[in-house]
Amino acid sequence: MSQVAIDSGSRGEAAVLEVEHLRKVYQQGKGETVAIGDISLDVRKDEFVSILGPSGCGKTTLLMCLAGLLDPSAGRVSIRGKTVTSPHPDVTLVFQDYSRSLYPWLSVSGNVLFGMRRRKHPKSEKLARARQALAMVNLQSFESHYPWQLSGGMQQRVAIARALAYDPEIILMDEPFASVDAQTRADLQDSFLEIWSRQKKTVVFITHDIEEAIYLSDRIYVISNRPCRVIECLDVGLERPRRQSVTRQDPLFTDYWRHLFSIMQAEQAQGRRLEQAG
Amino acid sequence: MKRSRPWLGFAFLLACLLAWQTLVTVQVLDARTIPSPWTVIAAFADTQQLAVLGRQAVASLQRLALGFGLAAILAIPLGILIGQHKRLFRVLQPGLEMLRAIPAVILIPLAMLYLGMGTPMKVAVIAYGAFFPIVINTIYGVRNVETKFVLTARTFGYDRGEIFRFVLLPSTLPWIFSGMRIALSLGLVVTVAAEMVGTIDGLGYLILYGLRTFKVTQVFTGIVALGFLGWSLNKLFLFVQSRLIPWHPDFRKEGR
Amino acid sequence: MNRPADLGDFAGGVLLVILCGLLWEVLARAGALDPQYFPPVTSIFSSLWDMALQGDLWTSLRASVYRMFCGFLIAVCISLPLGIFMGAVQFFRDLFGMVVEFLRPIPSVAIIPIIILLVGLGDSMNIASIAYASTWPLLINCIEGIASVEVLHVRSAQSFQLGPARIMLTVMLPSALPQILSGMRISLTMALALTVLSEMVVSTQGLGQVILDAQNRLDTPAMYAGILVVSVLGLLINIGFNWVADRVFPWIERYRGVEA
Repeated sequence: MSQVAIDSGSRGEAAVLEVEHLRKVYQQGKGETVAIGDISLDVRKDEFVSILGPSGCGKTTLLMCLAGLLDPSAGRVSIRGKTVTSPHPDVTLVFQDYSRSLYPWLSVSGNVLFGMRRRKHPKSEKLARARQALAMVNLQSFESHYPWQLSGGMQQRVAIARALAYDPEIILMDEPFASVDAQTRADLQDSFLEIWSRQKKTVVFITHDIEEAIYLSDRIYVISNRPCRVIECLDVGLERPRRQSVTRQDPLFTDYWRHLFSIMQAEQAQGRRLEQAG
Repeated sequence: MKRSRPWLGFAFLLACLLAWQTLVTVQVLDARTIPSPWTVIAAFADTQQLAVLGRQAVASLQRLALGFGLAAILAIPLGILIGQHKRLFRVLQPGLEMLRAIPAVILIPLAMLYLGMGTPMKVAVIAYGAFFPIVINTIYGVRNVETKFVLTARTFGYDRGEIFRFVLLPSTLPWIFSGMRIALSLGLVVTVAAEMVGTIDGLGYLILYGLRTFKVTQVFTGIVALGFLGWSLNKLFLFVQSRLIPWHPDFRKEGR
Repeated sequence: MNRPADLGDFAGGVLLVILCGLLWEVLARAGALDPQYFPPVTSIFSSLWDMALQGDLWTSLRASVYRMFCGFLIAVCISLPLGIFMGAVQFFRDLFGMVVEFLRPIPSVAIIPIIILLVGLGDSMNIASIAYASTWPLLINCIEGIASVEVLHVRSAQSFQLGPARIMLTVMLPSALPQILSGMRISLTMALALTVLSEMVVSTQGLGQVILDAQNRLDTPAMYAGILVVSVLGLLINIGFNWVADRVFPWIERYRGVEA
C-alpha cells in the first residue's frame, strides 16, 4: 500500500520535520521484530499532526526515532534538512505515563526547571519562564507541590508545562491524555489546543483514539500494524478554534470518523488474523 | 480498615508482665535464674547500674557506627559502579553471592585470630556483615532506574554525567537507604554476637558476663538496654530518611 | 534472562572466583601472604578432607543441621499461624502489637542467655535459640504479607459469597505468598547463623564448635574449612529453597537482593 498523496491545501510551507523511509528492526534472540516497516511523513511548521494507529504497533518506537532517542535501522529523520542522530535541541517529548517521567524527588517547579538545563538563560529568567509555563496549564499555585500530591491530569499538565518551559519548536506527544479520565481528557485537549495556537508550536501527537485525532489535528497519518507503514494521510478540514460541543457535532467530523474507523477496524481485524496465524 | 486499639496491646503487655511477676513470686520461676520484672525495672533506678549500662551501650554503639560507616563508605560507591555496568555485575555476581552466603557471625573466630579480641576485630566483622545488604540493594536500585526518567533527561539534552548526578543518584537513594536499614539491624546483631564471643566490653559482653557470674538482673537490664538501643537507632534512621528523601512513598503525609 | 551473553558472563564470574583462589594459593605458598593467616587453598581442602574422613565433620554437620531444622520448624509452626492471624485480624494485631514492638528490636542473639537460664545447656538451648531467632523474620513478613493483601481482592471474593476460610485459602494466602516465602528464606538464613552462633557461645558439638576448636588449636586451614562448610550449607539452603519454591509456586516471581 503506497502512501496517499497529501493534499497540500494547507500552509504550503516547507517541512520542518521529515521522515524518509524510516525502518526500525529489533534483534530479539534468534529472530527479529520489524517494528517499523517503511514510514515516510512530513510535518510543516506550526502544524498539528496526529499519528493514529492501533495500540501496540510501533507508534512509540516511531516517536522515539523522531526524538533522536533511537537510531533507525534504515531511512532517516531530519529536522530542517539536518539528520537527527541524537536528541535535537528543538524537540521535546511528552510521555504518556507521567508517573514515570515526572521526577518524584523534585517539586512541580523543580520538574519544570529540570527541562531548561540546556537553555542558557540566567536563573531568574528560568524561574520566570517556569512560572509562565505553569500558568499556561493553570497550575501556578502548585509550584511547591510534589507530583504525588497531584491528580493524574494535573501531573500530565506539569509534564506539558515542562515541555513548554523548554520552549521547543517541535513537541512530540505519546498518547499524553490516554491515562486520564474522559472529562479530564477533554479539558486537557482544549487547554493544549489553546496553548498550541497561542504559542505557535509544531506538534506531532500519537494516539489510538480516532475522535481525539480528528478533534485536535490539522492532518492525520494513519499507521498500520507491525511492520508499520503509513496507510493514509488525511487532511482535517474542520474549522478552528475547535470546541468539544460544537466541532464534534459537525457532520464532517462524523464523516472523518466513519472513514477512519473503517480503516482502523480493518487493521485490527488483520492484526488479529496475523496473531492467530503466527 | 478497622481502627487500631493500642490500649489492647498495652493491656496484654501488662498482663504478660503480671503473669511473669506472679510466676516468680510463687516460685514457679526461680528468682535466681529469672528475676521478676519489678527487680529489672528497679535496677534501672540504680544510678550506678545505669552508668555501667550507659558506658557499655556507648561502647557497642561506637563499634556499630564504625563498622556500619566503613561498610557504607565502601558499599555505596561500589554498588553504584557495579550497578551501572551490566557485564561487570554479571561477572561479579557469583563471587558476591558466595561471599554473601557467609554469615558474618561465623567469621568472628577468624577475625579474632587476625585482629585479637578488641574493637578492630568487631568493627571488621560488623563491616563485613553490613556491606552486603547495602551493596546489593544499591546495585538493584541503580539497575532499576526508571527508563523513562533517563529518556526524559536525554530529550532535554542531559549528558551521561548529568544523568548520573540528577537522575540516577536521586532515584537510587531510597534503595540505598533500604539496604542501610537492613545493614543496621544486621550490624547490631553482629555487634552483640561479637561481644559475646570475643569478650571485652559492650552490651553483649555485659549480658554474657551477667550470665556467667549469675547476676541475672544484669542479663535482663542489658537486654532491655539493647532493645532500647535498637529501637532508637531505628527511629533515628527513619528520621534521617524522612529528611533526606521526603518524597518517598513511605513518608508521604497525604495519600493519593 | 538466560541469554547466551548472560550465561557467558556468569561463567566468567565463576572463573574469576577460581582465579582468585589460584592467586591466593600461589601467594600463600610463595610466602607473600603469611600462611598462618592465609593458608593455601589446597591446605584448606586437605584439612576438609581429613575432617571428612575422620568422621567428626559428619557428626558435627549432622548435629548442626538437625538443630537448625528443628528450630526452624518450631519457628514456622509458631509464626505462620500467628502471623496469618495477626495479619488478618486487627484484634490480634492490636493485642500482640505492643509486645511484638518491644521484643522486635532486641537482637535474637541477646536472648541466648535468657534461654540458657530457662533451659540450661544442651540441645534444647540451641534449638530454642534458633527457633526464637527464626520466628521474627517469618512472623513480621507474614503479618505484613497478609495485612497488605489488596482489599479489592478480598471484596471481590466476598461478592462471590465465599466464606472467610475460603477467602483466606484462595485469596489471601496466595496473595501474601511471595512475602511469606521471602520471610521464610530470611528465617532460614537466620537459623543457620544462630545455629553456628549458639554452638560457639556455648560449646556444643556442631559446626560452630568445629570452628572454635580450630581457633583454639590455631589451626587456620581447619577454621577456613569449617567456614567453607557453613557457607556451602547456606548457599545450598538458599538454592534449594528457591528451587522448591519455584516448583511448588511457579507463578511467583522472585526479586533478588532486596531483603537481608
